[in-house]
Amino acid sequence: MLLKYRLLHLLLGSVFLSSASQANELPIEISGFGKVVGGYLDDPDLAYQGYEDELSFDRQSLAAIQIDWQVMPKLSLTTQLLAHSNKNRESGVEWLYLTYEVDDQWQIRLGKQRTPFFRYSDVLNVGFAYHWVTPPQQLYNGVLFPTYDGLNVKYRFGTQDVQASLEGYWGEFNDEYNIANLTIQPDIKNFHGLIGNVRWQNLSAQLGFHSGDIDLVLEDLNGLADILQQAGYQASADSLSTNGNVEVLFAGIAYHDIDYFVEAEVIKLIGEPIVFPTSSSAYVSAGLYLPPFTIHTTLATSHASYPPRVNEIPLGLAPQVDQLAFAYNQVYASLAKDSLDSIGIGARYDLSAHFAFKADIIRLRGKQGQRSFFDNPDNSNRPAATLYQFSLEWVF
Amino acid sequence: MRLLRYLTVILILLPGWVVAQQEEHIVVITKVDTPLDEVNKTMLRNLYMGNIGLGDITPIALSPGELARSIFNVRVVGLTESRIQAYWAQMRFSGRKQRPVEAINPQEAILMVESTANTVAYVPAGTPLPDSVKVIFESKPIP
Repeated sequence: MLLKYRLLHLLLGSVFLSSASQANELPIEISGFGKVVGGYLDDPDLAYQGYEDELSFDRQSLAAIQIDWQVMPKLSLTTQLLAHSNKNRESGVEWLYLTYEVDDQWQIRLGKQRTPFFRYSDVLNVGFAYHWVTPPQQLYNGVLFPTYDGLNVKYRFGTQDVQASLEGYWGEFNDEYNIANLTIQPDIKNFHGLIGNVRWQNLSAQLGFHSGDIDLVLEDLNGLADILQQAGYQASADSLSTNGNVEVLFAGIAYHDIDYFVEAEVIKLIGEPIVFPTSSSAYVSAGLYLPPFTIHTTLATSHASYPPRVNEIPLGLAPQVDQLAFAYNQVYASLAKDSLDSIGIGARYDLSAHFAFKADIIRLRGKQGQRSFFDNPDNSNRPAATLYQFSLEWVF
Repeated sequence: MRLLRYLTVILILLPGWVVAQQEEHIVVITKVDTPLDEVNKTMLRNLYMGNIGLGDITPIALSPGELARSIFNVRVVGLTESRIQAYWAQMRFSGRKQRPVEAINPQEAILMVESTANTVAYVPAGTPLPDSVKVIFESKPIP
């Protein structure tokens, strides 16, 4: 119901603004996108991305409008307002930034922007821009910080045959977001990255490096670390640190021809804070263009690991020390690991230049004793299920 | 049942659409005083996909649904309409590039080229052209 009101509000707002901008010939452009996504998970004991064994439409459906105001010939202001059906996802201002087009080659942006981690990170909400209903969760899982406040500089160069770009950004992030069922508000400073992109005819390749210093408050964990430190177990206390550096390395390649495509991405995440395990993820996706249909298949995998626990707390010395060792071991035992393999098939039907219908079937196979991106894994079994999703996506 | 009928219609019409695209050609035009006498496929592809390469030249596309647009997409850009729409959705909503201006039909495209310096547009080969525009590219038949 809430989604319906939000959609109505957005649609009415966009119609009003379109009319106003046309009537007064203001240098304002209104565009927008949205999607209604239905999903069903075939296992009654599991939940994945909020999907359970009943058809649900309120996990990923959303609508957004983007307003571009050409303030001056080279300066524009862009804002994107988003209404999300999922109560765990924040609705409101997704973007708000100024763009200065220095010339054909240089572009500078300042403000709140989406973090360009991977190929589709900055259009993750715009389902019309990719072929899946949901991009592979092994990469596009929302663990990393979705937006940042800061500066982005892009330089484009090339020859007739080879086009390239270099993009650098620097900023900070201090906002709430969710990792699975955990809501966190990290304070990220010195958040920066460099992305290189090369295109030669139908082939494109990307390389990226991202880094940030994280300060995260998790009261229970920080409290235990303080007690361990006071008791003299410094190495154990350090291993529970929620502060430190996170680095992400990324490589991607894509080939799009007139009747087929192949895409692949691979990432390596190295995190010092305990909530960011070292992980490697990758997918390869291939498909055929049979206008107006696109059919595709995707293989994806992820592997997550934590450093081994520190064995410095002696057992049997005193009951209080034993309790401390037990609490420390409990924390390590409860650390969620998201190793997951999946294979999916899907189809996209382009109804028009503005509407597309999609359907995907994904077989998910986790690792025994791990969370594997499931919301409620049963640690005694290997979590595995099939996710069915379909969506109507639009842009205007 | 209705879906089956719909798929049958698509399968019957699809070969005709493909043959039409193979037989039809397009020409790319610009105003006679534009300092551009000849372009190749790579230059046009870069121009229409928002890449750098042709300086201040502004591309004008035709609206989706125009046959000449499909021919241009297949013969010059080398991508399907759906892929091009997805590409521009990605560019637009990541704040990177703006899609080319669209004319509703070839006649409007010619008028836009005539009235604005440094613009190029594609129209079906054989379209009557005024003296104020010149042809700078012609698509070749698929062997």
